[in-house]
Amino acid sequence: MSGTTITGNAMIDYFTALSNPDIVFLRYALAAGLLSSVAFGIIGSYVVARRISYLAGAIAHSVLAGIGISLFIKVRWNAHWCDPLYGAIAAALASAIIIGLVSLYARQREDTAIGAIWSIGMATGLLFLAKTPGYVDPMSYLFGNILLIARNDIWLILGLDILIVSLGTIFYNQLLAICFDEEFARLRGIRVELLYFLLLALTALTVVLLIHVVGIVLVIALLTLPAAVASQFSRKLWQMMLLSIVFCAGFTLLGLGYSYSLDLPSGPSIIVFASIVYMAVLLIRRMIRS
Amino acid sequence: MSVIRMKDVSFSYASIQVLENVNLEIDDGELISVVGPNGGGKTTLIKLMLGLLQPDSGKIEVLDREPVSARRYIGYMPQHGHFDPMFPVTVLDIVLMGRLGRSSVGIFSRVDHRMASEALDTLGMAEYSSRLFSELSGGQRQRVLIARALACSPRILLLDEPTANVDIKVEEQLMDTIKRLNESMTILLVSHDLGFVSEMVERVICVNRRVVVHPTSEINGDVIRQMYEGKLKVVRHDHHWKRHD
Repeated sequence: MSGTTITGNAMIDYFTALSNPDIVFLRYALAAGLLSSVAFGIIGSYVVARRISYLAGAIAHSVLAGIGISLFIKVRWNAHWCDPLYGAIAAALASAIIIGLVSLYARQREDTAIGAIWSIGMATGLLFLAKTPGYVDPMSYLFGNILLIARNDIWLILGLDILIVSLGTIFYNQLLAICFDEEFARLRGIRVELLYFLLLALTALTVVLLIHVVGIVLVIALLTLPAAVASQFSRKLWQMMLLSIVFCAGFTLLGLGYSYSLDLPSGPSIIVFASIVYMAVLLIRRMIRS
Repeated sequence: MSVIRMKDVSFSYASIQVLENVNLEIDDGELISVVGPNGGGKTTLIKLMLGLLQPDSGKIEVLDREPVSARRYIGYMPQHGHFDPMFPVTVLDIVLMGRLGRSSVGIFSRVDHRMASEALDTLGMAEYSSRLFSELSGGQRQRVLIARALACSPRILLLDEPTANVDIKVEEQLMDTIKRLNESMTILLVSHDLGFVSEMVERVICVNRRVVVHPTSEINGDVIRQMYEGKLKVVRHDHHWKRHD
């Protein structure tokens, strides 16, 4: 009983802290998390339905190369314009294109090639971070650090949400057809390759958004777990998307709450919470069926 | 008048020759069957007609043009094995996919919805339109995929093993439907079961690397042995071979 009271009080602390003008980073983190839930829900559903979460994972990890290189340039040559976020976006888009080409045209050993891109990206990033003058903690990027979120990030996330919602709506039927049966979609004259690259590029941008909140290593779980939970309750792809948004927002809101109240890192708190829900849902569904 | 023409077509995957020197013509309005052993090249032949594969040599014409530009006049039903059973999609969603490619943005019009419903109706699947694809039986899924091909308003229908994994009763219903559809379009029917199709088609395309077109009446044990290269014992219960002796 005392356990529930402690966590109960802790959650009250969290909501009090959210309104405290001195703890602005918490509000930024929450705003970033809730706003990106829209992008995560939509793109996550496509990624899960098309079964390309492995590709999304590779894109996410290769982002570290972009962060490492841009931080190195920024500190070494005092280039203030060279924000790690730009590096992250550039690296994500570049790896989306490379991974897209590999998965479309590599006849064999696609998984090996993509696994290599995954690791090469991380290795490059770590090397550059190691050679960046001063001390940069790779942990912040790998597992998230909400203190790094700035006001500008929120605007960026909002912009990307608008982009993803509009593209996701305009091309919904085409993307649905491609995810379900790519060959048939091609026969209907849909530009399959183009839309596939669009999907990977949007995945890349989405992944970059929450790097400060959950980190490179964990972001893939936040992309796929809400969609996986939602798919258990959905009959249509758009239902899956709406539910994913709700689940993703819920995971972020409560996960951040626990991380703040219990003084735990935000990324792992959110992900552990999301995976507990995911496993519980699978278990309950299985019990109901049998 | 022929709607599909193949002249001296050869195709190989890597170094393995799958089809060799294929010559055939399919007439307008014909109901014709493609038979042959597994791995003999039936699906490859279909994919060449659709322009999904390019021949190593030879010429393919569909409705007097390149296969790729004839695609919109073709309704294609693939073998249904490769679909993700967890995919959240309803029967109507799938049939509507047959209406894609008619406008640049993928918003379905009222006409699209009407055509999709009609196609479902034709296959006797109207009452299932809001069911999940994963909830259907094998035979129902086949019918949904035929309905999707039909929603394309095709002039040619290519059906790849429409009767695989369905029981005899469903198979008979499907064959009735196919015969009915044949009144308004050319139909090419891939089947591994020669006995069943031979009762309703005039000509059979036998594919086993080489392609030979036989009138059904000429098919006898020799032809079958030649086609299956003696690997297969043919046991027939429902069909009496016409003898020419």
